[in-house]
Amino acid sequence: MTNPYNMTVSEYNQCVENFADNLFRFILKNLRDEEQSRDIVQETFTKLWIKVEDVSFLKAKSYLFTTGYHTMIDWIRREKRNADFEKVPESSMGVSKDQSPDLQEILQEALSRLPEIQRSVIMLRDYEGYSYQEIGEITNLNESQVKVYIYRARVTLKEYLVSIDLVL
Amino acid sequence: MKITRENYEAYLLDFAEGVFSADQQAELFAFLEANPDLNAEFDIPLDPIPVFSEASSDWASLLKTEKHLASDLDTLLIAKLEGDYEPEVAKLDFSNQEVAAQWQLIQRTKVAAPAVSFGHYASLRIPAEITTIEEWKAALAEGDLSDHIVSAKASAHMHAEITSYRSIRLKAQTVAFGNKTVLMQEAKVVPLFRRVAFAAASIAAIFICILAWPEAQEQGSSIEDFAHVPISRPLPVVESGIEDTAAIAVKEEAPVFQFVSGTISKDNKPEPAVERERIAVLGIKQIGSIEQAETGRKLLHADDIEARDAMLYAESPKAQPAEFQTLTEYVKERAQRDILKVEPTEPVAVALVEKAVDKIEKGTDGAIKIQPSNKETGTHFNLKLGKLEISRNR
Repeated sequence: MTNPYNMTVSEYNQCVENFADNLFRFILKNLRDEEQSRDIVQETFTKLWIKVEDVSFLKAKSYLFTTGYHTMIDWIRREKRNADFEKVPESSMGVSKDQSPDLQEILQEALSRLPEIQRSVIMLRDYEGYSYQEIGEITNLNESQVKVYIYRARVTLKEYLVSIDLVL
Repeated sequence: MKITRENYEAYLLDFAEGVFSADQQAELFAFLEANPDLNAEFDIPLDPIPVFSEASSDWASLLKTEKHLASDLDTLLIAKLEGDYEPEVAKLDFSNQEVAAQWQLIQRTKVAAPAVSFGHYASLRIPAEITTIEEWKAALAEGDLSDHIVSAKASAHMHAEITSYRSIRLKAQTVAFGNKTVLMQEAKVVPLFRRVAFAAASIAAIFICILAWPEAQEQGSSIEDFAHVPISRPLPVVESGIEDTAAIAVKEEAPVFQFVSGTISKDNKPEPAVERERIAVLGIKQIGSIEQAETGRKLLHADDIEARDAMLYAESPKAQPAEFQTLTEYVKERAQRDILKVEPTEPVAVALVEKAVDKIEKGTDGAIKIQPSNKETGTHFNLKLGKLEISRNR
């Protein structure tokens, strides 16, 4: 019997086009290890393809980020490298033109100083525009916890901006 | 009882346990004030500490309400930034300089997504002709999806599965027929008169058969009557020299180790298998292990000698990891001790090992043929690295 939710090859490849960069950015910003980040993206898409008959195309992005996030966390725990993400300088990771480069660089630096879970929820919120509920599904947190982590992250980022006397 | 320098410690303990009344506490503080050296020693704050009793406690003052939470400006501004509905947000006065400044600051914490490109998209895409997981795995195993990097580091279980697929692929059998000249035919010109004669003879034979048919039916002839007629099968004519006794080796790749050998002598009589079969099986097994180990080594860091040797050791229980510092040394030792079973100084062993090492270092998969060093003994080696095929005839 055919599963009505399975993806076609075309839809899977569309996921590659649409989400590979986003997932890679999310992992890379956390790990700061380009090679390892690519491996995690590779493995995540491999898992999606293996599960292609069980995952709806509409849920593919969520599946990718959930799987990618947990693969990344597993890797971090295995490598015990939570405090050693200084391999790739922030400047090489690309800067949006939406904000001034100086402020963006400072924000990226502040972002890198956040605890892993706060950094992840902020990136999922700001980069990907996920709702509290979606972030909770990806990170295995409830909505209240997601709100609290986002709040703490914003306060920390704000205090970092103030501390360097960038604004005001 | 009055507090003195002799008994003050007992009072301090009572004070620490919180059993003092307000009067006793005041008396203790007065004593410590009069004796500052003691107070410095214990660093007791002299400010009055409220003494709670269950009856007088105002626990309600500790409770927080939404109003307390909403009064936090950061909370409200962050709620506004996140688009959360908070009734208190609407009441914020952004004409207030402090509120406006904080709002501006909070807005700047919105992190813009940097432009990052994954790049290696080909390694993720699935070709349109592949529609199932099984087809995908088969294509990986066959090497049709070279762009798909399913490395051991990235996906150990997938790598193991694909390696397993590849290990059961059959390799073309290596069969040496020997003298092919007996099978070859020379072109001949048949004269026209012979063709006419053949045709006439054929027509005559047909007529004879038709005339003889009723008689044959009566006598009950059948095909079984011809069963005793021997059918001759041409065997290769072996001439002379080392190739005359070349083994016919048929093997499959690891992990299905099978080595079937036999020899054909000059008089076409098969000879029993000899010691080379056991040696060849051993060689195939060893090289199968080496190849697996080499594949693993490439997936590890190039300088990760310990991991590599551990892998070699795991593949071959006989090996001691401390004995081998490199894969080359391992091959040397194995070739000399287990495969050739000769002294390392024997010329043929030296030549074989040197070529084997060269092939391994170059990562090639070519065949090495060692010609006999001694024509009289007829020693013959045939080593193919990668999937080692090694035979030894004497």
